[in-house]
Amino acid sequence: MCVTIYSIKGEITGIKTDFFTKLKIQAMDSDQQFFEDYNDDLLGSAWTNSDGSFKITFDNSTFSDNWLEKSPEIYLILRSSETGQIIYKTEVIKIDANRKNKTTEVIEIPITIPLDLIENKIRLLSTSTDIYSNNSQRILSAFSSLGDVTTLNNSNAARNFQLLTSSINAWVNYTNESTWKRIGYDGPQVPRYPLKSPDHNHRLTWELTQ
Amino acid sequence: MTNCIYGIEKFEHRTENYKLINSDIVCDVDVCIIGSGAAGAILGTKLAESGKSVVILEKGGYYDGESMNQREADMIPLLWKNAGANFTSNLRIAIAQGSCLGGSTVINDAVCFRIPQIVIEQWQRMGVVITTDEWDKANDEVSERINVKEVTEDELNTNAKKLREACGKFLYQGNLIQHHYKNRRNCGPSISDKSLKSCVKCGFCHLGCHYDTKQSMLVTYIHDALVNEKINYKVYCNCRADLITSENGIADGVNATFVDSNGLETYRIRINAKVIIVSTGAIASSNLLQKSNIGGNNVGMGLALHPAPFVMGLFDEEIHGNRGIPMSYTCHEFGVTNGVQKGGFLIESIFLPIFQMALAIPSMGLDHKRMMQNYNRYTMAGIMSRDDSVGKVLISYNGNPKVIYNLSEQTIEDMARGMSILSRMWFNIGAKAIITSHIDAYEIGTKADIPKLKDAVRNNPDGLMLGSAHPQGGNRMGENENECVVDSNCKVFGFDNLYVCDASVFPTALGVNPQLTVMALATITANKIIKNWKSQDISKSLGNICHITQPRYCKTEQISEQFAVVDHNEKLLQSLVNSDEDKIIVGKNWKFNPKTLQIYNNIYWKGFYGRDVDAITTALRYFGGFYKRFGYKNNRIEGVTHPFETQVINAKSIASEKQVPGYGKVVHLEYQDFPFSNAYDLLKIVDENTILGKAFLGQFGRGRELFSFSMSKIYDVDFLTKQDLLTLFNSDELSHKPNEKELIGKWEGMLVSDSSLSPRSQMFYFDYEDGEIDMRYSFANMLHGRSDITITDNSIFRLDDQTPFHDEIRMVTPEFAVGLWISEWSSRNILEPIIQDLLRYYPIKILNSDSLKDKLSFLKNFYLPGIRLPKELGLSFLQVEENEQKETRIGLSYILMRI
Ligand SMILES: Cc1cc2nc3c(=O)[nH]c(=O)nc-3n(C[C@H](O)[C@H](O)[C@H](O)COP(=O)(O)OP(=O)(O)OC[C@H]3O[C@@H](n4cnc5c(N)ncnc54)[C@H](O)[C@@H]3O)c2cc1C
Repeated sequence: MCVTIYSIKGEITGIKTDFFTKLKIQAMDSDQQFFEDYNDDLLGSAWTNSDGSFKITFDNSTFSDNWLEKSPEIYLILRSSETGQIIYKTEVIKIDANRKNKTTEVIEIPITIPLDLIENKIRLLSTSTDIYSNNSQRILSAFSSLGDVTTLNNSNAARNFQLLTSSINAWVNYTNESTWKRIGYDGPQVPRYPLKSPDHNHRLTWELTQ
Repeated sequence: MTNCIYGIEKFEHRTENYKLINSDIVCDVDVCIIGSGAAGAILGTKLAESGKSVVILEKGGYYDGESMNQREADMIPLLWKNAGANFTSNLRIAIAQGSCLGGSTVINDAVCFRIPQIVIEQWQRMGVVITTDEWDKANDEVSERINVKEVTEDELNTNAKKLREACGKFLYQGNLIQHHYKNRRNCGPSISDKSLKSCVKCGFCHLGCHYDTKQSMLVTYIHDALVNEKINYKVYCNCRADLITSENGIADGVNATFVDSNGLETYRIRINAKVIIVSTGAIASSNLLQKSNIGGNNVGMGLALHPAPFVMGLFDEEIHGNRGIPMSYTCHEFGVTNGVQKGGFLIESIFLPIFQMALAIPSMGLDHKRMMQNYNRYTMAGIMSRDDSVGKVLISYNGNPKVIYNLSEQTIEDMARGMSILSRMWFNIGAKAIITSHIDAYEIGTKADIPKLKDAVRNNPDGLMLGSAHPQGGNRMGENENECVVDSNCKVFGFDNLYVCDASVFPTALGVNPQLTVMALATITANKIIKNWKSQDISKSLGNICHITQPRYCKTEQISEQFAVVDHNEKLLQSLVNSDEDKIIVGKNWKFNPKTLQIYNNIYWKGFYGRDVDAITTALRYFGGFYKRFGYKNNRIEGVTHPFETQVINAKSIASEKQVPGYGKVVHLEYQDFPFSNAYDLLKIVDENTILGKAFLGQFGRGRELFSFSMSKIYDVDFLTKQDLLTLFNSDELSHKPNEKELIGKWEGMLVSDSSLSPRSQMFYFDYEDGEIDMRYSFANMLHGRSDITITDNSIFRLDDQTPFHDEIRMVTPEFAVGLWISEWSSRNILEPIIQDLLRYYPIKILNSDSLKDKLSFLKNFYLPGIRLPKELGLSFLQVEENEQKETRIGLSYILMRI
């Protein structure tokens, strides 16, 4: 029986700031094309090191029986260490392994993922560094508990409906940068993550243009 | 440095000394202050500076300037109470209040007005003994610290200048109006950016000050205390005070819970204090007193809101109202500051960031879009009305504050007049149209149409979209105990050491923006508390925190952690053995302490799972309430483990002390019969009444740990069993039939089950109506109604409603009663259809259902189409009582706590 050891050597490149928290990397086998992702096999997993590097090793015994017949189709899932939520999935990496004649073989698979691709998502998901990440949750739970403290009169149903729709409209449209631009609203005068941009200045855009 | 802010949110960096909480805490302190806003912060710092140790509990989080990123979607949920979704009960008035360290002072507009002389005198006539001189001194002291200064000419933005121009040209009854001025504000040097000496004029005051130039409590009083190494000062953030405990007019402490950003309760804290001050702001303060059953019926009455409609002018030229200080100019002509004794209003410049503006404009669809398109061309001002104190704060089914408020005739008239005057003002200086906050008249094209706006306000006041940022009152201050909640010292009537000090004690609406007056009142009150300080004993209560002596309040993980560090007390092995009798003998193996409301029960050890709220623990608690009973047999200690509800399961065990690798000396509980023999428990006896345990599956020593639990012989009435309840109910020594008067008030009911849960189930309200006692109930927040009261029978106090059930109630203490919701005695055959019927509506577990399968089969009733059960009801617990003569009756048992 031929044993093939796969060693994925990966790196998330471009890390320079201190916000980078470790990620869980899962290597998946995508050979079951007819199924959704969740049917794919988990081949192995690892945490990233602080420099963004990671290594996942597994062998072909992890694969389903018929796998031996064809080349492995591997992709990686990057997950937030805090919430487990998926941050990024790589493309499928096809490995053309010609191992018929050997009994043991080590295949190294290098992969780099530029930080830019995932930076925003990490920030959004990381509960330790993103204090704003739970906001929708907070709003939803505030609204859902409104029932306990309101007594609504049926004769005002239309008015209450209007209130609800205009709140949703305001939330959807007017917290949105493209609407701000359209209207010419100056918008915030500091970056979204001021702490992570220590160089930001305390000048107002309209004063600079005057 | 010992002074510190504690919280449960992880941050990379904070301006002040900040530490994470990772366990329950008990804390003894001189002064506990609840709320860190305008009042709480000042009280905290002044009392700490006077040498008292101070703890502040703040429900909101700690966000420093660097976290305030000027984005409404980010900041409103973090800094505003209820993420901004805070309304009167009819949804007509949105009430803005801060909920973060520093309270509303972090999100306010920094306008500072002194309490008007008229109001000082009115309050004095209403029994407030505070002199003008005292107010002046306190105002001076606060103004100095928070740097109150008149805005400079270059701090007026275009919007404010337009208001000034409009006032300057406005003829009222033939004369130019005189009283309109630049505001005074509390801005000054930044603590984080030394180059900033005053306001940056970004216009984002409502979203917290990124630059730390607004001299909110966060960067003044709280900061001062944190960096003062000579004092003893701690702040707990993300920490919601739930209950003030008290006995005989002495408030002895506060139970509070740390709540994370998802609303999940994490750790708990118990503060034992010599003095307790409630400064949670109007509405919340009344709510906390109501929940703690303090202050009686006056609490919650007399709420005022300063409701404020707005009027905007549309101009040809760009105004850019968002640029610069939103509130820097005010017209006082029609308000209390110009001698108006009753009602009246101020016209205040204001401007809103874009999302709040979109919420405020009452049009819809394309109209709304068109109006928003003109965002940069509006001027805006608000009519801040000095309203009558007609509002009420009630307590909702879930214990939240419900604000009932309807505009009075006078306030409606003031608003109609104010909106009309302001519309004229904008037209006079060239506005092309007027936008208002009334849905029937939100856009007015000409001056001639202004009367339509006035009529709309008068005829349909409900059509106004109103905002309030100044809730005041609810816990009125004054010397008349029958009408007020606190005296002129802010001390709660009937208490020696409990104070309420915040905007909630204002006897009337102030008529001007209130922050400076709240701060001055806190200054006066702090001085009085310091002057009249009496040394006092401190209670040693643990409240409901997780502690080794009361592990029933611990989470599973906390029990496990304690198990790891606590030594098993070998001397107490004998205390494992329970009472010989297997029936309750009151006074011997079963006692009730009416003071602490605790049961001592030595029939068995009552088991407790962790207080976690995850699905598995909750399910365990519902299904698997258990007890263990130990006795001497065959020269050894033998035990049985019972689930409460299923008498058939009866797992026999032998208890012996053993040395177990990794755990040290423990009690090994070896189950004897199959299938239980596959499992074993390890126990550590902590004291005579407390045991920690771990359950394992597998062979002794090598089993897989299943869960941790605790057991106790002493527990609070929240954990009452049905047997305990019936013991109280049926004993003439322990309970009595209530008379009407004893019951008057509000009661919160909790179902009693033998599992470890007593879900909140109902509210009872007893009151006199036209001289007769009247009873209303609200069950599971779904069924509301009235019951007829019968007290004629010698032993029974009963309440009847339309169901085949009635209530029987017995009083145990003035604050605590036990009740049954029960059918008449009858034959099992007659009752069977009712049981079936109930099963359709409630997933009720019947006492004698034996197998787990039976129990689970009731789960299918959880999601009946169209019927949603409140989550806390879960599986309720039907009780079947059998009696040879009287046959059968069925029902539920519950406890009632006065609130
Ligand atoms: C948007 C806005 C703008 C304003 N502008 C001005 C202005 O320009 N000028 C002016 O004079 N006034 C203004 N005010 C009003 C002013 O800020 C308040 O009147 C004042 O801060 C009230 O002080 P307080 O101590 O009563 O309550 P708050 O300052 O509101 O503080 C109460 C604190 O208690 C906390 N709390 C509540 N419940 C609990 C609990 N159970 N456990 C623990 N903590 C709890 C809250 O989270 C909050 O932090 C404004 C208010 C708002 C909302």
